[in-house]
Amino acid sequence: MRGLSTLIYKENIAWWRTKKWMVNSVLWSILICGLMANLLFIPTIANMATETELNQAGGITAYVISIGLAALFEFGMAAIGIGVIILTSDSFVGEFENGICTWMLSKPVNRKSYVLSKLISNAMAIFILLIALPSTIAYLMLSYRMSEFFPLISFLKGVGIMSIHTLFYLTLTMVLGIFTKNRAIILAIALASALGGSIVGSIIPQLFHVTPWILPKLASIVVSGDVQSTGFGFGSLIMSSVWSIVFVVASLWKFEKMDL
Amino acid sequence: MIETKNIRKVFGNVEAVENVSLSVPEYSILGFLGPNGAGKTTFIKMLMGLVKPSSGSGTVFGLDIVKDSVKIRERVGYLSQNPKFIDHMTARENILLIARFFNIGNNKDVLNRCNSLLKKVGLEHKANRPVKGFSGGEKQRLGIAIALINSPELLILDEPAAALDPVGREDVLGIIRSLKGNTTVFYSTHILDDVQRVSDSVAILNNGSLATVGPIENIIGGNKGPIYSVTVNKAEDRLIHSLDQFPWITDVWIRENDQRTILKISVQDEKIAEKDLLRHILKDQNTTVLEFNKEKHELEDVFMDIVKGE
Repeated sequence: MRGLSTLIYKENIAWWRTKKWMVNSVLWSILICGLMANLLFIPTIANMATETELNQAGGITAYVISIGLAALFEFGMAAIGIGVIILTSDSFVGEFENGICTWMLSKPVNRKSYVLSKLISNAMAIFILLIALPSTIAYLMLSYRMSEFFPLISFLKGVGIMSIHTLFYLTLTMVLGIFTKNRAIILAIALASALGGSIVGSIIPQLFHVTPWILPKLASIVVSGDVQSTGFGFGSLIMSSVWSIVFVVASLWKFEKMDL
Repeated sequence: MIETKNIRKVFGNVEAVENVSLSVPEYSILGFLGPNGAGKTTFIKMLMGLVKPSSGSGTVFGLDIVKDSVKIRERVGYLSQNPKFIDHMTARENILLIARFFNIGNNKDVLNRCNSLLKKVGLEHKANRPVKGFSGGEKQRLGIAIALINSPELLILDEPAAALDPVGREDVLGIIRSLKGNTTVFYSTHILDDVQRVSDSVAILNNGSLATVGPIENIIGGNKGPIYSVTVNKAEDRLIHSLDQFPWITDVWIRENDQRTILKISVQDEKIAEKDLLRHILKDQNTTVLEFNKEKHELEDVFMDIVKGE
């Protein structure tokens, strides 16, 4: 893997030595945790719940916790998926166009290193800024609202599902960038999946088993501890992981053959 | 140093490079000429392993350009046609980033090398400024500094002086000259004067095919020898016939121009021509010589002949 460490260093500079990390850490924390904070701490929202809803949840605290978790995992995962697509859609196409890709590959660098450096550094930055940081804040808010620590293992399972969902969109955007070299096509296909997937899935439910479209719901359910209803989403979890691997392998294969 | 054999690249229906066989000896400075779209950049990219040949083969340092491209790039310095950098980083940071790809030495060695290169290309005073504020010429110089970071055995430059003003161009030519004897330089350009000044050999690519290659004096001179241009009031057949009789005159062309006649006389022996040619013409009582010049062959003449298909 000649050149991998230097290429990762170069990618990390773009994330961590510019304002990009600061903008993203603030943006995603406010976007995800801000909504969650409203649901957890603003009494007006809890007061809008019906008696039946409160009884089903097991009280007002349990109710706001459940809607808080839905905001974090269902809204949050969809938002992060879209964020990943937008943040990384230019990663390959931009460097194909501005010549940086050719410049880097004119050095003693393995082509696989170029692809993997982008995957590794983007995945790392996105995990820290879009997943770990907002999730930590969310966990602390949940624990504060409950006046005790929220079950950590359940919460981490949800974060794990969130990470797999995010990885799917990261690798999808990467493979589309390498195959099409076209921003419009990347955004159209990836955003169609992120935004319209659950609608398509509701028409053809079998697709939920082979796509990540059900993962936000699955994460929310797993974290709530509703073990009985979790069986339906695990096919989706496995298939999303498989798709991510397929996308990485396809990207490496195609990039190796490309003329620059 | 560089050997290609019938190397060819096709993009869709377009044959960008057609069966080019080229040999570049070690330590030569080869000017790679051709009009825009001739296939120069594609050929260079094939040498660098950035574009895969459709057919044919090539080696650099005896290493295969397809299978061993990483090993080749280890020993090559390359400057692309429009050099790009990480714009938010300074000139020094860009050089140090690229230095990490090579085994140059410890941090101190790398920094010393970086500083000496910045000085060599005249950018030491801008070393700590972000590249985004650099002019085209400054970027070109930085590109040359970066191409030299690994003390390459082979330097490949794609249009290195295209974006430079005359002073910048002169600096680049100076750098190329300074590498003579230590580094093989392969550079593409369309500035013919530059090639004539620094190259020891030339290859001309036209429509993807190699039109000619060889030492610059052979390409310029060919087998023609020098040409003398003699403008006279009129040239009678008798004079032309008498010129044709000399064994050291290889050819005579006549061009009528505004009641004057221009004789272009190609000679084999320059010394005899300088001594006898004008004297012989002046012997003709009916001829008045208005101008007498020795014409120097320029690379441009050869280039234009090839490009225009003459």
